[in-house]
This record gives sequence, structure tokens and C-alpha cells, in this order.
Amino acid sequence: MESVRTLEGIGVGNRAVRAEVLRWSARKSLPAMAKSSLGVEVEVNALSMAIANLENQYAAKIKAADNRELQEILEAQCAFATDPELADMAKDFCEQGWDASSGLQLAMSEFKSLLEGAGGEFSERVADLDEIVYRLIQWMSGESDETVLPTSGKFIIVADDLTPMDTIAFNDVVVGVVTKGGGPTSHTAIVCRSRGIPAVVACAGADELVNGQMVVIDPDASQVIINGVLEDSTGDWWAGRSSHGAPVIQVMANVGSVADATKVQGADGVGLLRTELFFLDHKIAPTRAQQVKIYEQVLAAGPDGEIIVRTLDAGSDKPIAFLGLGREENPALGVRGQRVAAISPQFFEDQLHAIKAAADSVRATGKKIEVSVMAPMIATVEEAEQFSKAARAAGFTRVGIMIEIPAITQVIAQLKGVVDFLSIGTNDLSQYLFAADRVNSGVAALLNPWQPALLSLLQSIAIDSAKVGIKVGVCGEAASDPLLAVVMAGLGINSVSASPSSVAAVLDLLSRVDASAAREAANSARSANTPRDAKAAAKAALIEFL
Amino acid sequence: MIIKECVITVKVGLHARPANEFSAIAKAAPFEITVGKPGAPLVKANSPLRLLTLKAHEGDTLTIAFATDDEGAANELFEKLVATISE
Repeated sequence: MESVRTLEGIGVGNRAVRAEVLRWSARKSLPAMAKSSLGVEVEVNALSMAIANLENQYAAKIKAADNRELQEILEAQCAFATDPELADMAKDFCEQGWDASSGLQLAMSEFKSLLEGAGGEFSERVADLDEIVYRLIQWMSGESDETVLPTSGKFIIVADDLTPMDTIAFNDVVVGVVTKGGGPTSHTAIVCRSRGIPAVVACAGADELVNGQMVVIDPDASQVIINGVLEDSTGDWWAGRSSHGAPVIQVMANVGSVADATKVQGADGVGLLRTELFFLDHKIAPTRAQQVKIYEQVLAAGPDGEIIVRTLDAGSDKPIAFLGLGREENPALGVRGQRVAAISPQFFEDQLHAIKAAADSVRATGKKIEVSVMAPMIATVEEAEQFSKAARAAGFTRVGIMIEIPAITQVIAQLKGVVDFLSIGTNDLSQYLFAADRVNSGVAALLNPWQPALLSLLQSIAIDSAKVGIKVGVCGEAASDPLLAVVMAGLGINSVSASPSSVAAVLDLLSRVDASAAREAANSARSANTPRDAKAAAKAALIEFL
Repeated sequence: MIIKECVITVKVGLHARPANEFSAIAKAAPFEITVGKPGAPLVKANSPLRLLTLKAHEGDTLTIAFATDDEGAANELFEKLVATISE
């Protein structure tokens, strides 16, 4: 029997899976440079065909991509691949006697040298150029330019990191993902979560995994178990225990698009309706009437119950063309969320009125919804007052704010009479609490939502809110983890809002516990010293109860 | 040849979506359009790769040259191009 070892990372999802490792082809090195033995015409022809082929592939993938961000990345890559300047320069090299693949490499390295010192997002484009050259040369050498996924069987894909192009190619044989890079909010994590594929990201030991090895991915314990068996895992350990019927706290869903809204099942309302996606494509601010139509669609498609709409959460990291936000050194600490209202007051006033008008017209069709609004990135009571005043002027009777900035957690008592509810965004709250950039995988471990300091802060927010009679929910990614949702219930949180694909699991576990068991789990987790111990302690407490 | 100048106000600078839209407009134009930073050599505006190598950020000035004498046509395209690099 081979030895069982575990690798640590950050888990995405709840369900554990066991399957064979399939390494996502570490890119083979490009062929050595060579002079052509076939003549200029043959080489130039091969080049043109490769480019035409890649253009077709991009077109198909852009069509199949399920979100606008991904489409834009692919469109930009396709534009580079089909740039006549690239083809012309590569042809010049072919005319000097190089073969097509050498011509391409020489042409691209010339463009890359022109980009040296560009910095920031410009230098990130170099990775796009590398990907294009790689795919063109693969095609010309007669090999598939995609990592060939088997058509049957079950595999766990292991990679350093995945590009959007990679994740699009995943089919049903991909039952799990392990990446060396990435973090809880990285592209890979987001795609896996939305597609219900269990994953462990930021797994430093991923290099140890080899093709054919049987491993268990246990996202619940944030580990990969080499040569493990499913019984070693902690995911879904509660299956088969008895249910109490109703969940111990309210379970809502997070929605960001009409497609999301139609996927929601079993949730008691929407705890976070994001509005960013509706504006990414707009060069100029949509009119009130245009906005009303958009909100009507999503409200009509979504579930009944309480629907909490978050006003536009834009910033220089989530750019919206018409807001005219400047470039910032530290976008996460800059003009974003409600702070943008100071420079674009008209947009925010229009948005509030449009949401209200849409809510009224959808209610008039007989749909049982209660629509309220909340503002992101509130740091002070004064900001909360301004938003509350504007929202009530637009006709809303229930108004809330997001709790993402540690400063506001210190003045919750003063929010009495200002707002009706609070909604904690754990991703940003962690980022600001731990001084750890969400987009920097080097600090991903600090953003583990099981960090005891975060749990303690959630508890103090819950206690302070209860004292002044303000309801508090959690709508961050953390609420999609069923065990963590139980801990939140135990900390005094009144509702959780999970991603549509996680609602069923969260609802399931919350329906098997009672308030005292949840409190027990919360106390055990909060007093641990590490995220890992916190999770283990919460689980141990619950197992005793169940 | 008609030459005009403008300032990039789009935050990401001239790459990604702005560069794609910019090059697409140039590609569809009935005459050649070239672009560059003032005083530096101009590059073909129909090439997203060439646009990228300008390393043009928000706040940078661009010189755009239209290989035509038709003032009206140049103005119309200039406005479209500026829109792609404006917030």
C-alpha cells in the first residue's frame, strides 16, 4: 500500500471527490529555431492557415463563454493573433529562410522587446502573446493546440494555474481541480465554484502530483490527499444525519445576472443582487428607463421574498466606462463603491429610482417580492446617513449598508435609526482587516474566511447590531461554505446569502442543527489559533451534536 | 495628410478593450491611419500589437495621422477613435 500524504491549499466547494490526476500539460517547450527545408511559399502558407484556424477557435470560444469578462479577454487575444502586422513580420522572417514557427517566434519576440518596461497591465499582455504563439506553433506542428481532455473517465486536473481559455475547455470528465497558484477569489476559484467543480487552489505542493495518481480533493478541509480514499475526506460528512426541517437562520442567494436569477432554487430571497454586470458594456450611463427594464428582467426571473439590491459597486478595479474614474495606485483603497456617488451623484440617484420603479412594476404583476437597497463600501455613519436619505427619498422603506470596512464596525450603535439592516461582505472585510490584497495570491492564506480574528469580528458586529435592533446578514463568498454558515449562525448572524450553486448544501446543513449546536460550533471555532484548527473545532463540535 | 491630437482618458490606457476598438475602427477606414506619441514614430493604427507597443497610458497625448485630404471623413473617424480611449 502506498503511503497516504496530504497537501494543503485553499478549498473551493464542499463535496470531496476521488479521481486520477491529469496534469494540465505543462507547456512543452517551443521547437528549436530552424531554417526552412520546404521553401518560403510553404512556410507562409502554413502560417496563414494556422492563424485562420486559431481565429475560428477563438470565435467559437467567445460565443461559448458565459461571462462578459471572459469574452473580452478572448476577444483581445484573438485580435492579437489575427493582427496583420504579426503575420507580415513573421513572413519577412520566412523570406529570410526561417521556417514558419521560427518566423513567428522571432516576430513575437520583437513585439515583446518593444513592450519591455511598460509595466502593470501592459506587461501582463506578454502572457497573452506567449499563449498565441504557443497555440499557433502547436497547430502547425500537427499537434492539438489544446491539452487533450479525455472523452471518458473522471479526472482531477492539476496545473500551475489556469487561463480563461483553459477553463472553458473543461468537460464532464473534469471532476476536480488543483492549482499551485490562485487564491479564494481568483479566476479559477470563481469558475470552479460556479460550475460546482471541487477545487483546491494555492496548493504549494501541487508539483508532487503526477499523472495517474489517485488523489482525493477535500475542499472542506482545504487539502489534497495523495493515495487517499473518500472516507478520509471531511466533505458532506453530515449526509444521512437527520434534518430538523427549517434552517436555523435564513438562507438567501447571491445573484449577479438574469442567468443567476433563474438558477436560484430553495433560497428564501436574494441577499445580494449585484448590479455591476449590467453596466460593464455601457460607454455612456444608461437612462432611468433603460435601467428599469434591466432590473425588471432580473427581479421577474429571481425568487420571491426579500430582494436586497446593492447599488453599483464600481471602482478602478471594477471599471465602469461612464463613471470617469481615474487611474489609482491602490484601487482597493480608492474611490470605489458608495464613494463614487460623490463624483457621479446623478447616476446613483437614477439607479435608486430605477430600482424602485422596477420593483413596483414587477410587484404589480403579482410577484411576491419586497425590494430593499444597500450601499457598498461604507466607512462612516455620515456616509450611511447620506445613502439612507437618498434611498428613502426614492421611496424605499428598508435600507441597508454593506459592512466591508473595519471602521464602520466600531460605530454600529450609531447606525440605529439610520439603516434597517447590515450585510457583511467577508471578502473585502478580510482584505481590509488583514491588510491582504485580494488579488495577490502571496497573501491568500490570510484571506481564509476561517481566520479566528474574522470570526471574532463577525461576532462583535452581530452583538452590537442586536443591541440596537438591526438585522445583520453575511453575503460574502464565505457564506457558501455550509459549516462556516453554521458558525455564522452561532456567532449571531441572522441570515446568510450564498452563491446559487451552494444554496442547497448550505440549506441542508443549517437544517440539521439548532441554535445551541451552532453556538457551540462558533465558540469552538472562534477560540482556535489557526483557520485550520477553527474549522476542525467547529466540525468536532457539530459531529458531537449530530 | 490630416494630423490631430488627443489625450487618453480611459483608465486602462491603450490596450485591452480600448485598443481592440481603436484598431477595429482603423481597419475599417478607407485610408491608412497611423498613431503615436508626439515626436515619436507613428505606427499603423489597425494593429492592436503596434498599439500595445506605444505603451500609452491614461493622460498620455496621442498624435493621429489620417492619410486623406477629406477633412470631413477624418473628423468623423477622429471622433470615433477618441471615443474608444475616453472614459
